[in-house]
Amino acid sequence: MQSAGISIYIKLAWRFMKARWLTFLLLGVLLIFSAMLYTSAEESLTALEDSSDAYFEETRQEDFSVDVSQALTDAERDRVAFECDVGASDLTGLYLADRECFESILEDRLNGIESALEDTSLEARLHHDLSFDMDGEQHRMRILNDAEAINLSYIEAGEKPGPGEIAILSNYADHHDLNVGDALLIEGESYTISGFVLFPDYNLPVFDYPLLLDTTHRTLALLHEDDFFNRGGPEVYYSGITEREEQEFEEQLTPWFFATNPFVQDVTPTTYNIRSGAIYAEIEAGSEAALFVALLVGFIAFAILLLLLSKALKQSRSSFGVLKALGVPPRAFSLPLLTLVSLYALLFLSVGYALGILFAPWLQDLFLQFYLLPGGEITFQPATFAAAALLPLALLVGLFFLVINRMLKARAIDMIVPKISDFSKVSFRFLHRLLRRLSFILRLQIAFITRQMGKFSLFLLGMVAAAFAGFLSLSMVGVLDRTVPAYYEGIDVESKGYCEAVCVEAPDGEKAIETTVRLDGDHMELYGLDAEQSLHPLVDRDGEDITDALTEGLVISESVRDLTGLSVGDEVDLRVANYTKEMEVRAVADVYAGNFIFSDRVVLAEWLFADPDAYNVVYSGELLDEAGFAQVIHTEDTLEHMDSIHDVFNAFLAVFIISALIIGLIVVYLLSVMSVEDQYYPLALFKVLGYDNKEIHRILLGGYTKASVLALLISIPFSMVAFNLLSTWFMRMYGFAFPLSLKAWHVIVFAVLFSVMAYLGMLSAKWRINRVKLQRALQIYQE
Amino acid sequence: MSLHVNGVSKTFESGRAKVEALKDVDISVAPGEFVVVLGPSGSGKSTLLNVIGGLERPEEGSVSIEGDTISSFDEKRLMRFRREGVGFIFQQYHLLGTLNVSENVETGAYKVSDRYRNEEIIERVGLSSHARKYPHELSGGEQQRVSIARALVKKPALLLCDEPTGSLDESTGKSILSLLQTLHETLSTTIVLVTHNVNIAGIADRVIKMSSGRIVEDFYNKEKVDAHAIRWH
Repeated sequence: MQSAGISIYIKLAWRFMKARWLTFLLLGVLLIFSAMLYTSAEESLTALEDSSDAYFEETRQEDFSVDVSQALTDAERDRVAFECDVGASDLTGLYLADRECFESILEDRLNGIESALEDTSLEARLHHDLSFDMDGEQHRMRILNDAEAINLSYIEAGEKPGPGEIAILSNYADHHDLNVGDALLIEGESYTISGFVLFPDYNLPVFDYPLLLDTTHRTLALLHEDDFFNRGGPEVYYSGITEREEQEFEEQLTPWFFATNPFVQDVTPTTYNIRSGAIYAEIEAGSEAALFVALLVGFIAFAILLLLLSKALKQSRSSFGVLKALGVPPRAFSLPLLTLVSLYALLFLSVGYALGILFAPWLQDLFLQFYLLPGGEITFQPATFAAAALLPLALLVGLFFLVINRMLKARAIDMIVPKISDFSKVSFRFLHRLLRRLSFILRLQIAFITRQMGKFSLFLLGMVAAAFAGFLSLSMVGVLDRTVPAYYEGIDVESKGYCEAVCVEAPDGEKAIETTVRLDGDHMELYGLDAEQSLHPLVDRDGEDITDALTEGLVISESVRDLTGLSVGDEVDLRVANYTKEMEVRAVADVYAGNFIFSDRVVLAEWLFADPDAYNVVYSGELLDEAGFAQVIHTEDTLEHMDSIHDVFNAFLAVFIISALIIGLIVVYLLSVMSVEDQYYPLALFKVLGYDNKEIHRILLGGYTKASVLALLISIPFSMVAFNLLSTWFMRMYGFAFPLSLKAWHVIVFAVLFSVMAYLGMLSAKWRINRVKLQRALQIYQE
Repeated sequence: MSLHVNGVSKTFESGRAKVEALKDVDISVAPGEFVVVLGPSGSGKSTLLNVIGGLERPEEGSVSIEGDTISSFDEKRLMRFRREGVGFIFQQYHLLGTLNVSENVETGAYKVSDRYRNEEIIERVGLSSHARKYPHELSGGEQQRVSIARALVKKPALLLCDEPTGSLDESTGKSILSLLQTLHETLSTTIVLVTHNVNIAGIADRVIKMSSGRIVEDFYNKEKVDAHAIRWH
């Protein structure tokens, strides 16, 4: 008896699934997405995290770095004049005049710190920055010295360079098809590539402004000691290792550094250092984001799957009642359905896991395009498989048992006797009087919705979520173009010429000041612009020119506003080295290119250089010649570099956009199908009562159509608020602008897709319903 | 309202087998008659009711109501006929759980101009105090009364009842039949009621017995009894 029951219910379960093959197939796709997203992110990030931890330990990554003034302090200047008989004013000049004296000054600076802090050790980090042409394009290189105790060089392949040799980044080499043994021509000197190198204090290839993460046009390098020092005076900062906790370091040591050491310009713990610490936040945020998206998709899939199962069980209620009355235990008919659905779910979750493993190296490579780290090996992780496939499955089984046990608790006789569906006791009767004057059809539409609040809420929530996913995906199209490219399109600067310290006799152009500044612990780019200059206009979000606001105070970029929450009228303390200046925010510029603060140049010149005419950058509307400047950056080159970065980001975004759009549309389709199927019985009844199809659809589906439109409308302000929050979160988490915004075309395009999918969903369900004859439909429903 | 069923046959396919539900059935019902169609399960009585109500189309023969051959109506006209000309009462009531009594009744008179007011018909079926209640708040008998009110609100010329007491206990069943009797007398509606319960036949003007898709007996009831007086089993 029992085995016969099971066999019958296996058939019933199979038929149930077969009749809804498209719904189950789409659910399968959601399950695949869920498991795949989680697995690929978790596997790639875990492998990356493990390999990075080992790498950082092996190479003794710094705990903090100390930016120091390249200019000599008054005391140092007196000392080198007295002891070394040299009249240098900065470290570079001192190196060229007397290398021993240069090393002595560095040693003294270091000893002064180490003698005061026994639990802290430092090492001078020397480097040369240079530009060179390759294949007609400008490339940038930072050559670092081979450290002895902190930030050790890590040779990925090949060997450390000997005389006449160089080690470069493997990423850079890959972009240009360079191999060990090939020659590299830098500023007229040829070096043989001895190997590929990584430095733990440069996980991101960020070494000057603008903060480009482009290994196509820039590389780090290691030279033999002789070659390194033969290149002239290096620039210096210190890397340090300390036993102090981060909080103690921030609260006690940082102020001490500024107060005691006049040459200190900035102290940055590794965690907050974008060139070396961003990876920690990114791995954590990446894992959280992947988990969140996977959970969201998984939740939607399981919610729909449970609804389907619950519906199947309710439809079989009287059959279950009969079997129960005959003494067949509930598991005899619940197990087959659960087993079949579980196997189905497991199959798709496993496929998702396998695809996740397949995509994990690709995702890791995407990270390694920017992060200069040794890649980790992707291996089968039982914990990941459990979290991606087994845990959701266990959840499904558990919830299914809750649903079925609740239903099977009823007496057999109550299950056999048809039950008229009731609804929430929440009373909507007060609506009755209000709605009396509405048309009969409209009143029915409202009745069908308000009296099935559970179903309706789920429908509305699902539709809003689907619309949000759709808007999110569309708003990401071209999001990166709204950052650096949009900034450069908004200004007429073709070249920026940077002087050493301050410009003295610079070629023609508009005067400007660029420097870094700290605002509440965050590093910002501070721009000094003349209010009457013409090459760098400032406009707000509405396109209004706000350049004049510079004369009244500060203008901050949208990125700064996202990061700090500052608004017009706020007073802020800007800090350069140990000097602070209080200024008022007067406007917000529509700039997402970075954390930019704009101020009147004269005000900055007086503050920083004690000279109202001082400037350190020249902006030009034409291409500047490099002669006469320490460095020239052409806008065209910057935009080209950005393009190559964007290509990689855009590939990643394309995958995300397509995934989010597919998921959103699948949800719209499934909810539409289920909403129509829920109206199966009333639909048949109205047909019997003589209503035509048009009237029936208006009564039963009109409410849901209006609800779909409502969901779409709700999702617009919801998305706008959410996008603002997401942009802020992105900025605070990653330090990069991700200016999501909802445009009219996003709404129009998605509304069309949304309508098509909803219509197809309803059409599909109606087609299935129309195949059943009226009388039979009525009988089936309450059998 | 006069009803003529002439030579109607109807076949259903059940797997590979064909089941003849109706075989050359002829019936004429006079205006205002209360007819009970009696037969065991599978005799074709429900199919006959569906053919008369325009829910099924006969393969052979015709169904005429007031001179109109409804079996040749197109779907649109058939729909209008069901909406305006005929009321249905089902064994399982078939009420919409999300609508209250008054709204359920209202669904039976959509776009019908000559109709009873909701309050009036609800009062006639004895549910005035329940008009704002929902189906799950009513007993089985009360739900069937709502179903009757819904069927009658449009003042149908023909009321078709498919085992209206099949799900009710004796006392409730009798009260429903009594209500139908009263409504028949006061509203002069033609009623065709199908049932397998032989005892119910006592309340009708005329009894038609069916077996295997054919009419085997057709007679007028000389001793009509009150619904409360019939034996239930």
